[in-house]
Amino acid sequence: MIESLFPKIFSLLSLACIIGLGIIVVRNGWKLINKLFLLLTIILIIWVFGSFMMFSGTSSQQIIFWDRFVYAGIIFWAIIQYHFSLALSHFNRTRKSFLIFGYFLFFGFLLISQTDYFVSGIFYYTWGAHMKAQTAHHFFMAFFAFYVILFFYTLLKKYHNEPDKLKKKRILVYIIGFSVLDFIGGTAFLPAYQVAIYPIFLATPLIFSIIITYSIVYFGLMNIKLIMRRYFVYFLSVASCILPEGIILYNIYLFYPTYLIPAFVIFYISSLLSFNWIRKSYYRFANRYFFSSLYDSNELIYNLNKHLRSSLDIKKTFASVTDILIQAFHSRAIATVNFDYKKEQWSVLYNHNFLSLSLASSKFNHDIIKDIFSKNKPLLLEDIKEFKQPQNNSFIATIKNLNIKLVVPVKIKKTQLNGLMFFGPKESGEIYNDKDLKVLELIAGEIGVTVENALLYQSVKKFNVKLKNEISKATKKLQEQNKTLKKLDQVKDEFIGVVSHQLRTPLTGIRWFTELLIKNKKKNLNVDQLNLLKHIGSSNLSLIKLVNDLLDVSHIETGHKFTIVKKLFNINELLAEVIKENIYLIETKKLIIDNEIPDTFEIYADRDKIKQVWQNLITNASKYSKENARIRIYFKLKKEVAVTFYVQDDGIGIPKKQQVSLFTKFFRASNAALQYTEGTGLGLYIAREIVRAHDGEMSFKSVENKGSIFYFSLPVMLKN
Amino acid sequence: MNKTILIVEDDVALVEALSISLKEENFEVYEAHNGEEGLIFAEKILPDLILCDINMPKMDGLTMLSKIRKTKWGANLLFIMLTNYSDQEKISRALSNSVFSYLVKSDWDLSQIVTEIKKKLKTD
Repeated sequence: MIESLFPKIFSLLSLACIIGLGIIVVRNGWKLINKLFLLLTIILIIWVFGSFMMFSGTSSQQIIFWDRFVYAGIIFWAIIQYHFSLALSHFNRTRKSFLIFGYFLFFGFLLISQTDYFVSGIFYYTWGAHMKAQTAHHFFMAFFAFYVILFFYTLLKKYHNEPDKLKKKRILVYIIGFSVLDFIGGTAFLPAYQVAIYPIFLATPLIFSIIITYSIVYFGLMNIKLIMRRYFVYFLSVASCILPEGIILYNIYLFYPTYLIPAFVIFYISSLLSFNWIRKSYYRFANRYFFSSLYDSNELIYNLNKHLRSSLDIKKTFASVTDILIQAFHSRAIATVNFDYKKEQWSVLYNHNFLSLSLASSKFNHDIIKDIFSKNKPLLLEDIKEFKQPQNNSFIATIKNLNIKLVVPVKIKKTQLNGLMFFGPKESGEIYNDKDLKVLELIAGEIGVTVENALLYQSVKKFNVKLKNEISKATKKLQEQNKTLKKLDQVKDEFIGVVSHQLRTPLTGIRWFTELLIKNKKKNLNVDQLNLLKHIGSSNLSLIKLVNDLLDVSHIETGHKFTIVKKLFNINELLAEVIKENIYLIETKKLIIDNEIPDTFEIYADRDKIKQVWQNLITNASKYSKENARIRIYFKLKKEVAVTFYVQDDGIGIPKKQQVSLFTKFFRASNAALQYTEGTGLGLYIAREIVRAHDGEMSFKSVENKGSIFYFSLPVMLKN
Repeated sequence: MNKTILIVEDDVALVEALSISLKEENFEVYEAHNGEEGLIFAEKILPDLILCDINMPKMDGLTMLSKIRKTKWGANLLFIMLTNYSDQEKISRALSNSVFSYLVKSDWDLSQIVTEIKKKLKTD
């Protein structure tokens, strides 16, 4: 009988542990995974209790009854275990069909297990007895093993794919715990095949519960640590109340038995009174030193930092930070407010679940806020209560009314903001522990920096919006002005077109009729009259040229390019025409024109326009040359891609200071204006524009009183 | 036989000046005052050369030209456009479609125009 004592003790201990574990797990929430865990513990209870009864049983009838009782539970072990692994990872079609098939299969085995096809006959061995396995049992074992393998396969796969380190650890705990149960506990089947083995398997539920309990404490497995903590604290509190009193009362009973009843009353009352205090002290003690929090603090800080850095939107940042903190602390409410020292009240930056938080902000004495900030660490309600000055009462009362349990100051540098984070009670009713406070102290600085950045960003954004508005306003104004200007420009163009047309037709009329008169066909005009007519003719020509020039300028000014109509023409023929037009001036001044351009020289350009250029250069050279002077016309070819024409004179030249402005329209050099009062100062400007319209360039070199060389280049273009 | 010239020009004074100097050179001169008239006259007379303004009422010179060019009798008719300085763009566009000479009225003397006409008719 001694041999069977240990299995009995193991059985009872396992039973106690497993019952406790099952209850604790279910208290944590009626979730699928907890329900399955409860089912597994029930099976274990049936197994351990049945085994215990079996080991205690003496008659074969008792053994048979309890053995079948155990099988009624254990038959479902493998399939529920598999179901548990699916709830832990995920379901899919194949997995579901395996599961449903399994349930039907093992239900079938349940029916068979109560017959002799499953087990019959008893095998007695040193440490106990077991029924012998029959044919159906062999099949059961095969499917049992199959589902156990599936279970471990699912768990290992989940373990392999799980990115979360903490969750990975939890899965590892399950793998170890269930390995103990399945592989050591599995040896319980051996006696059915008449293998005598020490019933170590009866200790496996005990080991399993130790492993699971351990992991609950250290890895927050199943999130049931809080409930564990509460039981632990109550147990210790009751024990500390009763134990010392019991010892003292026992001593009184031994030595002063007459005082026993009054002493008992006193201790009874005192323990009733002290219980709450003791419980609270244990709570704090447990919070601070015995239990760590449910979350991985490094992970929490990492997550918070990630979110703090990822956004510049203050609302979004607070929302995500609040979310993360709620997940970690299970706080009922979290809010962030900004305390305004001048108004002595707060404004809400972000609020999650606090009721009438903004309404609660009445006038507070700012000394207490300063005190909170000077502490620069998270303060529990108890710590805040210690600011006992009467002027702080309204603040403390508000904090109490709002059910705020923790206040975290958030320093925001460079701004007027004084952030305060308020934390409501935890859902578990726990107080915030040391680890929570440390995490919050660390994170408060980060939050401050983030808020600061977000505020800076907001102000920049506001400025940007303002700037954009201003720009768009200005742009609109400019666009309107531009429209008006364009319209004006169009009107100007039309005006010039009309004027030039209207002027030119009568000018042409004057030109032609003067010509007809000068011909004097009827011989009825005398020489004086003819001379006067010649004057009319030349004045008219000047007027025509002026109108042409003005039209050119307005054309250039309005952004129109010259329309260039190119053709091949002989340059000397053109020069002859130009010289002929200036012949009066050339002959009176007795100028010598030295033309070095060969007779056959042809270029491909707009003849009329290029003529205008030559007219300008030859006229200028003639005008500003002294008598008997020489005007040299020559050219240079540059690598057969461009030709440059030169007109050189020994005239008055251009004063150095004025050379820069020479091509400006309406500009006339001072010495030229002295010599010839007429002239518009448009000629060179137009000439250069014409050359540029041909993709050429025009320039000059000049020394005052020595002469000038004007030159312009044209790209050489073959006719084709 | 004398060569026939049709002048199409809306300015009566200019028509007269041109007409006088051309008649002096023994040309047979006809006058029209807009493109429409010019088109009708041209078909009746079948002149050797048309001297034509661009900006005219009812139908402008370039439209008249393009209509004449589409006819059998007018496809190769000699044409001199009298232009204004500001008509350059129109001309350069029209030049790619049809063959004609042009001269800027105000830049030319009558005698120069007559010489040009004679030159044209000789080379024809």
